Amino acid sequence: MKHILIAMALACAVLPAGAAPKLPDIEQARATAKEAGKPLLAVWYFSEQAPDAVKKAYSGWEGLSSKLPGVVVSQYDELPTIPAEKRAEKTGVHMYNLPCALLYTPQGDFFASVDRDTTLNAEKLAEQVKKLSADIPKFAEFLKKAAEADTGGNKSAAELAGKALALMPQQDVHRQRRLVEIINRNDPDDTTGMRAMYTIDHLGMYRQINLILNGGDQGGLSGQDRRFNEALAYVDRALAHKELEGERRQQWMAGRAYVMREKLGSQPGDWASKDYRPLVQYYRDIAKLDPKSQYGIGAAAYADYWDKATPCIITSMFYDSRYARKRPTAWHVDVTKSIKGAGTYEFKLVPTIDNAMEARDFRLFIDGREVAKSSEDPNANVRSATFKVPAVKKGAKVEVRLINHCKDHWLASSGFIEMNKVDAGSKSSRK
Amino acid sequence: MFERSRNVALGVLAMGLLAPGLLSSCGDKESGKQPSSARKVAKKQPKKEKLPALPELVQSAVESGNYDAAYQATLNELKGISDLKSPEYGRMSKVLEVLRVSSPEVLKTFAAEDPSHKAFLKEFLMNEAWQEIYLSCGLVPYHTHWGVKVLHDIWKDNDGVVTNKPLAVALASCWGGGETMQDSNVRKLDPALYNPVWRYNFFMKQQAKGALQPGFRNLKAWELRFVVCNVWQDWDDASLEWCSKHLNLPWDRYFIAHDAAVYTDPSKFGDNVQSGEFLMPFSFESKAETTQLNGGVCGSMSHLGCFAAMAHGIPAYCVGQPSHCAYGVRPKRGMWQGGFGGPDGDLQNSILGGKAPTSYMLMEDVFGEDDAVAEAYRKSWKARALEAAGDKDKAILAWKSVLKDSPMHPFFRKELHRLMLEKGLNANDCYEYLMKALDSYKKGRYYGVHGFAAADMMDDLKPMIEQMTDTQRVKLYTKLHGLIALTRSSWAVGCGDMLKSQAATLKGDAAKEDYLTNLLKAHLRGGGVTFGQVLEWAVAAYVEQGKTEAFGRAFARAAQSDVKTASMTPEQAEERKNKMKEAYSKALMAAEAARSPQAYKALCAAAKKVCPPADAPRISRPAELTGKPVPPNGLLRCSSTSQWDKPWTHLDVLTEKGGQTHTASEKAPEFVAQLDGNYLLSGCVIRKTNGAEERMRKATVYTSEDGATWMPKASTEDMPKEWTVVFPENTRARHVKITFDNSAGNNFAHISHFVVYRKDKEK
Repeated sequence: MKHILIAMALACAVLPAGAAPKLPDIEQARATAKEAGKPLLAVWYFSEQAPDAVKKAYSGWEGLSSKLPGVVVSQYDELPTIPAEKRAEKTGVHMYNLPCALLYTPQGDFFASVDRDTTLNAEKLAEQVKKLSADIPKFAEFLKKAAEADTGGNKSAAELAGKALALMPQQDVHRQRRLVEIINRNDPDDTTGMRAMYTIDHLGMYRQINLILNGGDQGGLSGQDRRFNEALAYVDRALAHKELEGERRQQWMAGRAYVMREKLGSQPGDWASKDYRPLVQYYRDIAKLDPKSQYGIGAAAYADYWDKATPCIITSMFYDSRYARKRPTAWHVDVTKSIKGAGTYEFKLVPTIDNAMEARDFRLFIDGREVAKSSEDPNANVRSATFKVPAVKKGAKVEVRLINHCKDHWLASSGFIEMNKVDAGSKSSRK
Repeated sequence: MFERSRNVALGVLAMGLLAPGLLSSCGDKESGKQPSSARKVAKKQPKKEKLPALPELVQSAVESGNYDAAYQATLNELKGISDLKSPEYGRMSKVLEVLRVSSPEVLKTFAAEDPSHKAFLKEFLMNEAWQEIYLSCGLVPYHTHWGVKVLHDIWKDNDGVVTNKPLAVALASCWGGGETMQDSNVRKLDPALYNPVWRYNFFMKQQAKGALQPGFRNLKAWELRFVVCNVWQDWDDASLEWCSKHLNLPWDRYFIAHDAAVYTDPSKFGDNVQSGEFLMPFSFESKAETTQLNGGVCGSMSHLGCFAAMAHGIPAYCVGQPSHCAYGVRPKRGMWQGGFGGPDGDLQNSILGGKAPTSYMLMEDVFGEDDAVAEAYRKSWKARALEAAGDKDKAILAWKSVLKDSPMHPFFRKELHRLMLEKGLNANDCYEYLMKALDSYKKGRYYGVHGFAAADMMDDLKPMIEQMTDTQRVKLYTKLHGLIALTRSSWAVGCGDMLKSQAATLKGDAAKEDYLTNLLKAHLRGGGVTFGQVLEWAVAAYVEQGKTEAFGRAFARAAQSDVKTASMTPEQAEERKNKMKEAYSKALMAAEAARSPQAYKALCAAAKKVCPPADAPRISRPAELTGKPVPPNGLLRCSSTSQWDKPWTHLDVLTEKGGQTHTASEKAPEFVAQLDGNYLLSGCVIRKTNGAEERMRKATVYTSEDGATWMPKASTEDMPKEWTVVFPENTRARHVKITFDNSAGNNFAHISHFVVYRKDKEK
């Protein structure tokens, strides 16, 4: 017991409770960095009631200066006394996952941010900062030249600004407002392709696409009268720039796919009569470019959504908007786990929201082979089907397949799926 | 104290470096090996609690799964205990309450489904401490298996040891609902994605990591309800995980967390938010991830802010507003902060009522008194036991005692009222009771006065109120409105229905007028949001129903009462002034629309005390016109109003002194001078207010004797700043109108003078 008390006393002496790291404040350090011609690193955190994981990082941050001799290290402690609306005044950028680290040029222009996980590990943070700061001198030079050339309508200013932005991490480009504005001011028609690459986000892109499609502000065009070729030409102009790559290229391709989709949708006839294959393939091309980006993930999902040949595979005993389609679509529901020996089973869709959903043509499959059909009329809109399930060998996959059509605009139908053996006394467990 | 305890832990670890033996006896925080469920905290499990057995007959009934018999046996035990204050009576009353609220039939079915269900129920019914937490969580699952099912599932997943019982109970309450809110949306969602067991384990893990706000460990079940789920429009489990990793802010700044997402419409693939496809491409990601990485509109942004707070153990809720979604977060008790325009509106999670702020205000003041509400609940179970044993008189006394500890708890009041009515409460006793009960709604710890809760409380006794005399009713309502006027409220909480219902109970005209006078007096003093609502209702119920004299009298009497603003801070006084201005503007426009000079005058006299005057130059009669200005005893009616209008100066517009009007942007804005008689007129002067005088070019002046048939008297294509219109000889009229023609495009109209001149002598 005495030993424990001594250890506790030692701990209290060695580890002061939650004291913030001893680093200069970002404001002071800014001037130092400028004078010294060194990049500025600011660790943004909050010391008041900081979680343990953050407090553990304090001593590491204090040691950063020795690891980064070419950088001025500072801190920005977001104290409760700083009003919420002024929290980004010192940093110039808004961040919501603290702590994080921000890197600036010696002149104080924002260059890059470092994520929370890396920031909490001083070694990793130092390594990341070393890598990033290698590009700062060139970035600062391009920025300076772009600013000097910024007379409005000067294409080289836009190109220089683009070269500067190309050196920044992709996720931070939108935070560099100064360079973004130089591009917009000097090349509004985007002859250099810099706007497509850096400043026109998807909101701006679709705004322009829809303006073109509708025939301008007062155009009021609709349906097949819309200007699809002009809209395609708009996106293709951006896509023609070879330097347009990564997620930005995917963005513009998504814009193209949108025009293709609108064009197809405006044609007379229902879904079944139209050929969506080129559109589906285009979405798959978008996904292929970078499958891990949000555009890649979304395009892959969208390709499946629009592809008539792709069924919805449902493995949980619940259906919702993830599987809803505005056209008749095959659902393959894996009911293997519900099969407890041969017998008669009732397959049921138990809606929690039943907005204009149609379900028909229920069939039983084992290992991809149809073994039974529901006795209901395959064209009848029903919510259940009864099957005689034969003995199933171990490891076989049992599915109920059906055709589902969500006629609700919001794709909001949802509910539980049950596969229960129908014999004396068994009934639905769902209440 | 928190920091010191942290250092104690660190000290122990430090000692551990020197003495491995000691470290192992204190236990590791996290082992290198992962348990079978990766979400469980991998630490040495605490030992199972040793629980005392229940009385023999109760125990055997529970063990056999016969909960009807268990209920009966428990009741018999209670009947046999004479000392209501004994621990045994307390214990049995809880068992009885669990059986009652869940229903023996439901428990029987639940127990029969699986042996582990029965095993859990046995343990739960033996665990007094756990029952107490469950039964005092606010919304206790009623006649459903959902509450015990969630508890069972958590218990089973944690090898029979539930360390954080309030957390488990909060989840049970969210999934199970309560007697007043039996349905729960969250249980209609995919259990693979919305799983109370997962959420329990998540919060336990986060707490072990020190990733939750420091106050989390002290949160009770009723507040944890707002940490674990946004019941009526929940997000998936994975969203909590995402937010814990990707949104970390100072504990009191989660009201800005929604800004971590970009307001986005259309989506990355061009779909607008009104189409079902907006979220389709990302429907397999967590909602938080999708929103933060791909953007969203107010609904998903508010959810992001709300879930960011929840993921860090901070109570929060989402709230619906007209054409908008917002949210509220609570870094500490009594401190709800609004995010994205919150915290007021229709709650997506609540315990007492569905409107913020009154719902959370009442909740905090009822449940925030930890010791008092705990004692009240203990007594409440005894009260129920007494009633179940057939002794309603003792039960009533017991409920009265409960309400001494927690006087504003609506569920307790409801039970007392039910019994009082069953025992034949009469109108006079009801009156005495209510007059006293209303005093209990003044002293909330965090929010002070709870007038709306008091009004809801009175609803149970409406049949008795209808049997009271008018005098009693007027006194009762007057006292009630004295509370409502001082209750913090907002646009989201309406009182129109209440006023209508109260007025309908009054039989005599004198009583109705007294009611109106006292109502206006109370709310004039309060000067809050309800003042405007009351005025609107009063104008609609009196002025528009031909009872303008009554309204005028009532308002004049009410307006004479002095409102002391000396005790207010300058900010409070300014806020009150602005609210009054807004309320008066609406009421004055309503009086004008109802064509009631009397109502208008009464309102105007009061409004001028608080509302700023117009800045208009004085004009004089032009030489072309004869006679004098018609006295401003009528009305000026405007086709619309706007934020720049000053309705309390409209009558001044009819005088040479001038006032200020400002319509909305319209195609044909107009002003009608309604005179107090049919006069022989020489003409009129219309003057534009200063600024934007290029508007109001094309205009026509009309006169009318009946207000329906209009005779054009003059028009212009380019109205000057001050336009003098000379009427033809023998022009007689009671109404004079000027209409502006904005057919080229809507525009505003704003005049400072519309002075009509009456000839001196009538022929």
